[in-house]
Amino acid sequence: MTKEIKKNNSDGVSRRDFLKDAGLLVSGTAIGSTVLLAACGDGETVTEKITTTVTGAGATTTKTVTAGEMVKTETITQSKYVCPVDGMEFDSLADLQAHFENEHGGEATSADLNVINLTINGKLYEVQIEPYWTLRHLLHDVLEFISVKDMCCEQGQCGSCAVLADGKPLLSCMLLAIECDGRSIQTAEGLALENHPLIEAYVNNHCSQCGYCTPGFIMTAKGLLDRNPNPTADEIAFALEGNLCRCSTYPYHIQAVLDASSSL
Amino acid sequence: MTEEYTVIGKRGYRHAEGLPKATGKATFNRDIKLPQMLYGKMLIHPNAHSKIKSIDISKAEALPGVVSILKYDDAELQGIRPLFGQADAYSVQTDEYYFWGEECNIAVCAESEEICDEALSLIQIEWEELPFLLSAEEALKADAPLVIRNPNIKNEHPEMLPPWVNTTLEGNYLFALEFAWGDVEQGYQDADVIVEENLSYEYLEFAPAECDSVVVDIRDNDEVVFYIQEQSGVAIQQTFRSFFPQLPMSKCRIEKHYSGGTYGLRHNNFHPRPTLFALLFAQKTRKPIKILTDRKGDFYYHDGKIESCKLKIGVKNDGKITALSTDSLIGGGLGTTVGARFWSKDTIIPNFFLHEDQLAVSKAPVTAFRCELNNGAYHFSKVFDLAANAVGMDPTLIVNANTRNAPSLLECIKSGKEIIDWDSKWHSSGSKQLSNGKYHGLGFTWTEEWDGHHWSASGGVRICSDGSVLILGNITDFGVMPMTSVKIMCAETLGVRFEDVHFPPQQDTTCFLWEGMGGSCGLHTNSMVIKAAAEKAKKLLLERAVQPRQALYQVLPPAFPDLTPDDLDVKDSMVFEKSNPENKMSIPDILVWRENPCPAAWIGPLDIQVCVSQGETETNHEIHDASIPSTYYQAHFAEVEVDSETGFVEVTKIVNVNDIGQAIYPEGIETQQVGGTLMAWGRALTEEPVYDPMTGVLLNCNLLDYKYSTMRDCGTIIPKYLEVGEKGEHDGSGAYGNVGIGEDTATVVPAVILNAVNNALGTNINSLPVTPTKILKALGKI
Repeated sequence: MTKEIKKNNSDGVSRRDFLKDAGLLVSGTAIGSTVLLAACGDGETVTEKITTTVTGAGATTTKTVTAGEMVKTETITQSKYVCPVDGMEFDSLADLQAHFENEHGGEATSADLNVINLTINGKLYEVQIEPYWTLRHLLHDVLEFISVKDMCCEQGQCGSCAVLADGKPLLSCMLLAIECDGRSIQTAEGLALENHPLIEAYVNNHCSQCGYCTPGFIMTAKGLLDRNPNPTADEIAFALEGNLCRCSTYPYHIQAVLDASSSL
Repeated sequence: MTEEYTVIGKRGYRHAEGLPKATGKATFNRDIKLPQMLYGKMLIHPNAHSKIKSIDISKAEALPGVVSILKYDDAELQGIRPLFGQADAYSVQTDEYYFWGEECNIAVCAESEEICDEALSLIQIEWEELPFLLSAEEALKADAPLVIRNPNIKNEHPEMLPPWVNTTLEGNYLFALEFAWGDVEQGYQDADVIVEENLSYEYLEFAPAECDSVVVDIRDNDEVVFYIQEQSGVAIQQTFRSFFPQLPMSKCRIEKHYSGGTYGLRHNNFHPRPTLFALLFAQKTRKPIKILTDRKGDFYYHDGKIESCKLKIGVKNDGKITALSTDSLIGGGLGTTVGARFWSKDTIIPNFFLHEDQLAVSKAPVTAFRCELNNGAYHFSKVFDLAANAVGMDPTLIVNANTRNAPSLLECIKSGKEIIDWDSKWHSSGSKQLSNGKYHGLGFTWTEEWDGHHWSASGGVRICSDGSVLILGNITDFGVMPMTSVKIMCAETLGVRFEDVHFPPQQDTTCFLWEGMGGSCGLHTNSMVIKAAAEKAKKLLLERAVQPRQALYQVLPPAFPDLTPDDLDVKDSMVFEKSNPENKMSIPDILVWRENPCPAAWIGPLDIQVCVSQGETETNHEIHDASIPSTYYQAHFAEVEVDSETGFVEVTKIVNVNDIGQAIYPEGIETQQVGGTLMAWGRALTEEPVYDPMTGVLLNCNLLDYKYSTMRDCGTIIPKYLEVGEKGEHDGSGAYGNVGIGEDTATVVPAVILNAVNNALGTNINSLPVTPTKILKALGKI
């Protein structure tokens, strides 16, 4: 059974909104979007239930528009589900659950199937994971949030994989994905959607040289500003000290955070 | 500055690549994920020198998810040899490996990175361990075992090397260098004081932010696309064309996405294996493949090590150096030498002798790391500091006695001394203890700027009919902010607004090739190309402005009837009459953008598109002649506090003064100065690869134990740029008189920190990094 996450949406679903959201969520080949285009015009009320799927490399976005409702429903699921007991593969979670209950007995809970739910940048994801995956692996390698960098340390050495988990800056290479069930994650992509002043401050202060570490710095800085909106230069340096920058543009980061602080 | 520009040298222009980097949307090589992509990993050599006695891959092959395994004796690998270059030494057929961390000719291709790791762990190998050598001094001994990879390679193309490089030496020799002028023995007799010291400088590891990766994708039309983390796309194209002569360069495309810090060539002749194996796997599976290197395996790139450099300096009491001889032993390769460049270009020392031996050791091959002048700049800095100390002179004053006192150099020193307040702070060595108990020290050094680095490139400019401008060509953004500089120069030359110019990143090598040889020559070369291309485009635009304008259904009169192109100019994206600036018209109106409602039919003729080919631009190759004096200089000043009980050094202030000829992108210049200085902080104080002498294994190949600077490690850095240099026909600058900045401070500043430490303590430490252990030893405390 695929869980449906419903959101109130007073604007209904337009073709433009759909395509914009789909492109934002998953970069990949759009399959089936023409179905929606054929059935529903800009601002029209949907007259029949339509399910549309956008398939990316590692995940599938399904949008269901229900007839007669001005409701946008969104479920972000995977394209392949694997039985953790016998390794058999299924096209949907419902099929896997049915298989698990029939073959292995008992109700298949999320924990049984290694399925977690987590909110990423305001959208809810339902994903099957391997128990040994780090949050960084899930975010970057599976769900393709490419802002979540890594300097291949996997030991919390560099800070480039920093994200906000329930508002706190954490190193995603040091968290197992399975520990993040139910948590709310924000990445630099999400911060950009907010148009947070840190983004412009970083651009205007010419902080990035190679730029690989920049999203990690920005997310750490966001965590600081959330708990201390008016930090001093020393407080900023202390907060960002765990983030490495091989190009070493450190002083410009401090100025950028000060500038962002004054714009909050 | 001799000219007033509209865009060039002005502050406030937006960092072209700032937004994608800040939002995390910039795609780096490791971020690339293609449909149906497979993953690959190379086996990392676990010994310092060994050969495979037996290998069993059956368990790895049987692992579910493993797609293919390739190794040195497989049929697919036979016959693959480069047409040229030292890459032959790193053949894909060998089963003998020469340093810990080397990527062996054994690679796994699988459905995931994790399966690759597991498969590699299942490969059973019996190694025959062979003798290894960690120091050039050991490698030099007559009875030393051979650790050189292929003794015949160094003699393969002697005609391609300068005459002063001797590659005929036997044993572990890579080569030897020798330069001389004057009579050093006579010079020593003329001296009042003779100084003899021995310098050393550790290997410097790239340790870039982004670990290495390569993706190869063979398209339906047999085009091979390489996604690669490298500075120079064309160099890679040529390298792999060399390995695969049957692969036409026209079907070999290099896509260079954003690069997380390269600081030097990576996938060069010394490191072709991951890319070669990726290509072989892609050919075999017909699927895209990504080969990844982890952090441990990425400690592959480093600069050469001055193991010892015996100096003998003759100096008179007035500070004039009468003779200098240096005899250096370096573990490494051609990428880095002590060299004679600085001495011949920048000094008037009358008697000089330099000898340098480069030996193979059981460590990763040497390549230039921001930059190949590291050792030379350190050597240069130490000689002047030692000479000044020997005769009790202020080191900023000894310059006058030993150079031709170029205005640029004198201005750099004057400016820096004022900023750091040198005259009131300077003191003799070890004479100033602060109230906090620490010792205060000041350091100074100087060198030329790296002018005259001009290579070939090509590029294009398109003035779109709506007035926006597109820069065409392949360029890598690896940290020196090249796109902003090129956009600024394009806007200046064309007379358009900065915000109207666009430089899309990640164009591939099917387009023009900016920056033909990579980092060291980037701004210099690109400035020549963009200026030439934009001038061509502007000429066409002004010609169009005086011609009848062909629209879809009508012919409009010329925008400027009765005028010639010479009567016109462009400013703020408006074409105007020079003698009557109020007579003006926008570029879209000249290119009849609005009058053509059917763009599909007319878009081609409306736009103006030009290109500049390699070799079309002015060249400055003659500036490489080491006998031509430099015209641009730099000077650096450091202030430190040293705890004589712990040996801890606190760098409280550094002042960088660089004469960059003509500033193009001021904020970019300053961030390069500051970033380079902070990189230099690590080189001066903490960066030191540690090898286990018993096993030859690199012990600190991670970001905790290989320590580079962090946010709070360095005090105030004051970057200052000047525009002084002696402009002339062959002054060594690029277009508009620019001189690059990206390599300077990282290369020169380490020595100034060491000079300041010696000034603080009255010590004579001549070894980088200057660690607490070395300091306490020098003080006799351990």
